[in-house]
Amino acid sequence: MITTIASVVPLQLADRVLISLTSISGLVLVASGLTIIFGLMGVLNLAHGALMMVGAYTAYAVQSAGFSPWLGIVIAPLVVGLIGVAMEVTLIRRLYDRPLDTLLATWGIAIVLQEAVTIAFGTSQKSVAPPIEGSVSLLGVTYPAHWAFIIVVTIVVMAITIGLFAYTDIGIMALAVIQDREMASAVGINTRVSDRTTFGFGSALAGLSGAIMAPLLSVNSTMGIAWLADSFLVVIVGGVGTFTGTIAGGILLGGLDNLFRTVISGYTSIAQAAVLVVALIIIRYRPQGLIPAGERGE
Amino acid sequence: MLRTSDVQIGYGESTVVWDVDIEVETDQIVAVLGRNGVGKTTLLRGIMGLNDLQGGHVFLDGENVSTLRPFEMAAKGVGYVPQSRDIFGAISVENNIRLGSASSDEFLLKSDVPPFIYEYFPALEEKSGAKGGTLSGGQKQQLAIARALNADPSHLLLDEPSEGIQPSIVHEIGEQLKRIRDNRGISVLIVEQNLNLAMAVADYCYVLETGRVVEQGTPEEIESSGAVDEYLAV
Repeated sequence: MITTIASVVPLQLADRVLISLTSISGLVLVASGLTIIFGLMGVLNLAHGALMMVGAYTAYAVQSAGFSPWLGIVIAPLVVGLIGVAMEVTLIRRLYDRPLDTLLATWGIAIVLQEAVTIAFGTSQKSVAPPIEGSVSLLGVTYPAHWAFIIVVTIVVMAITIGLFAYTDIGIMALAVIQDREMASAVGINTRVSDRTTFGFGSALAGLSGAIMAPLLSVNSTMGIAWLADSFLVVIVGGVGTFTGTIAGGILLGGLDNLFRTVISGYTSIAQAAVLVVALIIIRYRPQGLIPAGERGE
Repeated sequence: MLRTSDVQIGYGESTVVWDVDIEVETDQIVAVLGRNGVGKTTLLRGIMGLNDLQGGHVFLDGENVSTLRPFEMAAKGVGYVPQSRDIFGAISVENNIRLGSASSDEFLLKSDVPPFIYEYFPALEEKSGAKGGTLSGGQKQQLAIARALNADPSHLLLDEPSEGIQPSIVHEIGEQLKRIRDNRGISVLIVEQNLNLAMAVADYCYVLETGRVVEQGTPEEIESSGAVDEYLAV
């Protein structure tokens, strides 16, 4: 099931293109953290959706305390990034070679985070105000400014992330650790610090996506589950381990979702199932994804 | 000087290397010889900190470095070239070489690859922009050595650099090792099954059998001792 903002806002056909762009951006933004943690590090992180949810709740908590929504967007990635670092140090570090155990452990963490949020904030749905009110005029249609903000943030986040891994020392060393942890250590890289930083960064992106997307969603403790499934689909269909693959996966699946919702209007479940079928066909005939990772070493 | 004293190394409960004492003097190439499975790679991994020592000590220039982790050994000036030519396949050749100096305080991507590295391995300069994974086996071996050299190590540990490499390239690697020792003043500890390469480059040899040193001496002494027939013949 591909989650889209289309289900929570009234639609006009003329808005479809921009709505699709926002939907795709949201998907790519949420999946970006998973691209790092699952795609690059190979960690099957079933807590990714819960981390996104914590980001949304952080934004809610900051606003509830009377602070600016902008502060929530700044604090959410920091809080969730720290949670990610704590996860890596206490659990994930011991499980890099044990994927099944990682599945169980991260699923457990997801449940703990959900219950903790329920205890802290209750079971009622929360709403989060966007940092930018009002609307902008794009392509001849009036368009909520926050939706445009999501597109811009996604572009900026992906550009920074791609640049970080391609053109900085930290990124190159992280790639080296991801490819061959033992050899990276032997050339002088402190792999524990690198793993911690990379996992924390991926988690921070999940938190940022939660805070950014929260104004469009009903914020509740289980909101991350659907996004978890969507994020894995986007990363796998796009090509595990590549940021451009994630973008391609988001464009394809997000775009198809909106297309099917338009064509099969009124039958949301059928539209969602149709997207899933397309994803399965792609995975069946192109298991390496739309844009596969290049040579990954030996 | 690199020295091991009564080192025991293994995996889990099992011990593979028993009470091994070896010394690598400054500006010396030392070879550890032995058949497949006698513990050569385990010995090198133990020295580098990739395997914990079960007993004994490793000393580097008199300092006990037995408990250091690999990145700390690298920072102490020990370069490591693994058996499987583990280069970073998705990273460019140039950045692979730069990663060799990851333990330094300098910014990796702003530093130039030292010219001497491309003088030793001109094929790597031609392919500096290519992904490491696209190189041939011999070129990957050269890249692994070049990466280790970029750290300007005092000691270089090489694990079977001839494995799976065509003979002409093996000869070339041997010549380069001698140049590295003579021109860069780097001590080399090489473990090898390839007797020809080891005997051609080594100043001193140890013969390993079931995890223990059973013979040692200069290449000439090893050849005349009968150890080649007894422990190294396939």
